[in-house]
Amino acid sequence: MPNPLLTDQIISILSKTLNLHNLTTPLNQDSLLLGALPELDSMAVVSIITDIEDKFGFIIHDDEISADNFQSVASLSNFVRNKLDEF
Amino acid sequence: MGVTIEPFFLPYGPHSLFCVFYTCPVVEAKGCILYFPPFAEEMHKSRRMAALQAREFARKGYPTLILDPVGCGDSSGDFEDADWNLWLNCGLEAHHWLSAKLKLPVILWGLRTGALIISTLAERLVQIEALIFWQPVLNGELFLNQFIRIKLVNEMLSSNLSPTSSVRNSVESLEAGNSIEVGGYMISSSLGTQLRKTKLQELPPTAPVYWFEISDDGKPSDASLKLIQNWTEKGIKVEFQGLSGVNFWSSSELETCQPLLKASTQVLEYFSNP
Repeated sequence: MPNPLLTDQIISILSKTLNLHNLTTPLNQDSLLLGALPELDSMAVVSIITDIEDKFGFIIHDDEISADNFQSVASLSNFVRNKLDEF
Repeated sequence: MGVTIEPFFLPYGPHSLFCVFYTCPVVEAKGCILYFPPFAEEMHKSRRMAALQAREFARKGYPTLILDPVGCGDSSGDFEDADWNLWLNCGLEAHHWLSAKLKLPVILWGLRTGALIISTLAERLVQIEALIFWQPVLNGELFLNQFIRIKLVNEMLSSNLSPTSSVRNSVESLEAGNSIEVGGYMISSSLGTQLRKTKLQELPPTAPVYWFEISDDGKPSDASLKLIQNWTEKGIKVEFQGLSGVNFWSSSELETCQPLLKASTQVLEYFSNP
C-alpha cells in the first residue's frame, strides 16, 4: 500500500498535467485513470511519465509503460513505490 | 487598440512559408519580433497562446511575425520533408523579410524546441536585440525520446498491452537512415538525427535572454537552473521568470496562461527604457 504522501504527490502531478482543478470530485487513491479520464491522452501520459521521472529521479523503461500501471491512482502510486524501493 | 493581422505566404525556394504578421499601425514600431514555433503537436496546441502574445507585442510597438516552417501548419511540404537545417533556413528567410521590411532591431522568440532553433539562428545573425525563451527544450535527444514515447503510449492505449516499439529501436532506425512515424507525424532521419544532437548549452547567445517557464514555485527546473548559472558565469545576461499555469503546449484542452502573456509583454519595456 503506497503511503499517503506518495499518493498525494502522484495526485499533484496528475492534477497539474491534466488541469483537473475543476473536477467536482477531486482525485483520490481509488480514482480510475485510463479510460475514465478523457484528458488522459497519449501526450498527457507522456507528460506524466516525464514529470514522475523528473520528480523521483528514476527512469521509466519502455516495458513499464503499461495499461496496468495507469489503471488508477493506486496502481500508479504502487508502481512508483516499487521503483523507489529498487534503489 | 486595433491590431492588424496579415496572413501571407513567404516564398522560399520551392516552398511557401505560411506567415502571420501582427502590427498595430497607430503605435510607432520600436523593434520587431520573429517567433519560431514548437515541434509537431505542440505547435497546434500552443497556437492560441502565440497569437495572443503576438497581439500584445504588436500593441506595444513590436510588430511580430509568426512563422510556420516547412512541413508544419499551413506551409508547403509534408512533415517528412522537414529537417533541422531546412527549418533554420526558414527562420533565416523570415528574419530577412522582417528586417528588410522594418529595418528595426529583431528579437527572436521561441517556444520549446523553437528556443533551440532561435539560439542557432542567433549565432548566424547580427544585431539580434534579445532572445525570448518560453519553456525551452534544453536537450534535443531527451526531447526526441519523450516524443517517441508518444508512439509507445499510443500502442499501449490501443492494444492494452505493453508496447512492442521501443525508444531505442526507433532511435536506431532513425540513425540508420529511416523515417519513423510517431502519433501521425513522419519524422525523417535527418530531422531526428539533427534534433538529437542539438543541445542548448552548446548555443550560448551573445544577446540577452529572457527565459520563461511554467513553475509553481517560481523557480527554474534543476536542469534549467544549471544552464542559466553556466551562461551567467560566462557573462551572458539571463533574466528568468517562473509563472504559474498549465503546460499549454501539451494540454489536451486549449489553455491560456495569462501570467506568461503579461510577463512577456512587460519584457519589452526593458528595450524602450534601456
